[in-house]
Amino acid sequence: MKTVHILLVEDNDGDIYLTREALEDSRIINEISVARDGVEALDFMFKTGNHTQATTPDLVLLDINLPLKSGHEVLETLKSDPRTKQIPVIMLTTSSSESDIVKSYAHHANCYITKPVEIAPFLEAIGSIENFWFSIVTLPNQSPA
Amino acid sequence: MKLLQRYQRFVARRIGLHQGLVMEPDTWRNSLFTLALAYTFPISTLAYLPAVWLCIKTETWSILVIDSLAYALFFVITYIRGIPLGVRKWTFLGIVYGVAVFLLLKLGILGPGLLYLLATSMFVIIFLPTSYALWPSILNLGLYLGLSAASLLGYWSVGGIGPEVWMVVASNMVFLSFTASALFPGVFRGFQLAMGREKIARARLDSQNQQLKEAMLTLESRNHDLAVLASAASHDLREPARLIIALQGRLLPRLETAGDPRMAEMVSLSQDAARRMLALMDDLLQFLQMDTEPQAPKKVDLNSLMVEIKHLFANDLKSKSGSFEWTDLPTLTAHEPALYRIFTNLVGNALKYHAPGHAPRVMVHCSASDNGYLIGVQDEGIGIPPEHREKVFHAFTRLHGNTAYPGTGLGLAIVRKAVDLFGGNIWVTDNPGGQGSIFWIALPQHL
Repeated sequence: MKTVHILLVEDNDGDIYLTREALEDSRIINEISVARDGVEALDFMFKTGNHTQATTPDLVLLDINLPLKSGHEVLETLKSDPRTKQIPVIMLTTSSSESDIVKSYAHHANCYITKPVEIAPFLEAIGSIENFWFSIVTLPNQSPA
Repeated sequence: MKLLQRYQRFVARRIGLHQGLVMEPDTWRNSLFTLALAYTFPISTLAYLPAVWLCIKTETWSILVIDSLAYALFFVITYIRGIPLGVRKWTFLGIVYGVAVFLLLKLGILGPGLLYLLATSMFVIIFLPTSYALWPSILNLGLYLGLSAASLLGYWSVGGIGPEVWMVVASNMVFLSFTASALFPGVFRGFQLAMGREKIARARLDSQNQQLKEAMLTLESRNHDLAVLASAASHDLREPARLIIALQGRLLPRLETAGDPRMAEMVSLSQDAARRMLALMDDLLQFLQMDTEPQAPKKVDLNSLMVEIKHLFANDLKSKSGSFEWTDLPTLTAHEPALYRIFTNLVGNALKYHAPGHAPRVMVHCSASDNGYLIGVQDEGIGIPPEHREKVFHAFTRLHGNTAYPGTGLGLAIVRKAVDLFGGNIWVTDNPGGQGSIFWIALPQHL
């Protein structure tokens, strides 16, 4: 069975905890990395700064409200760089504002999910993400960047 | 024309007047003085040259000396810098008066002397403040009386004209002089008064404009604050509330399986509180943002809107065995989200505030007239006591506790604001067909 690696870009401990729990329930994901701000996320993706040893993730879960660099900026950088643009980026955020949604898709987000308020739909959403991207979808083979 | 204006400005600069066209009495006097100076010297050349020729021919040297002196002084006060304005004015008046008296003594009443005396009165009235207006007339009167006496006593006689002729002609000059002294200051005073009034009016207008500008600035900064609050409410404030609900939702089943029902109940209660907070923030955000959101009117068939709303409340209707019906409703051209807010809140309330043991029955009807539409949303619910029928539309007014009927207290305030934005009216009456209420919405023909 191939290993699956997710990068969660999230500054909120509560959300990190919940997402981790939801992901750990499944047997698909082997590795979860967390970046707590926009700059760290880019360091991780491009193996710079404190993350020179990072392994490229198969999927990125990206919040919008982040310190240092917003999710929109991170998304734009990832999707305009040939080394990272093929990696699926899923916007996972509290915001349901039309402008955030439009902006995300304009910058080639692979999908946009507003975090459900209640716990059951939240867990379901995370479960669906895993199921869809790692069981149903065929992704390109990752070659080390 | 341009050349003349440039020349006038040149003279104005020479004599040290730089004011623009500020219409104050003093600056007006000064600008008239500038005009007089600007044209006196060049035009006096026309009078000076023939006079020089005549004087040389007739060998009247005294006139030549006086004329040349006057001509030179005009040049000095018109074109030389650094002379105080008062000195220029008095010199100008002195020249005219001096020439007048000299010509009068020299040439008698047939010469231009009397004319110049009259001119001096005019110049004084125009160039000097109003308080000087009578001076030249009194001076002229004195001169008239003095010369009359001198001529009666035989000390003065020019051109063989007797004192009677002098007195008849000169008295006319004195009369005209006094008339001018009396009349022109009146004109100036009227002018000054009008300008004063205008100045006061302008000052008042300026201060009102200033106040308006300040009010606008305050409003702008308030609107900015509101936008910040709205953005905070949609992102930053929602996030913690959502997390509380989600984390406690994760905790709750563990407490239940751990067999701690009291702890589970407390967690469930605090979860409810966080849910209310989230609902409040959503409603408050709607309420605050409604009048700043861009209006995009389009044709909205209220019948289709009702279908949509019925769908929205399908679960509620089913669980309460309620009914929701409407009769032929019009198609309005309006901002759809506002209409949606009005009817979701009213229908939602009608379903929520149903009487215990009585299935909710909601009916929407409409009558059209030349003035617009009267829409009624009718229920058979618990009704609203007459004394609360105005208050229910105020923000955060709640008539019931959260346990009996949960709510944010903003629903009807949102409805009223939406109706207000359409230029309409909303009120509530008893439902005459039975228990409950009718919410009436009067909307103008054109929203």
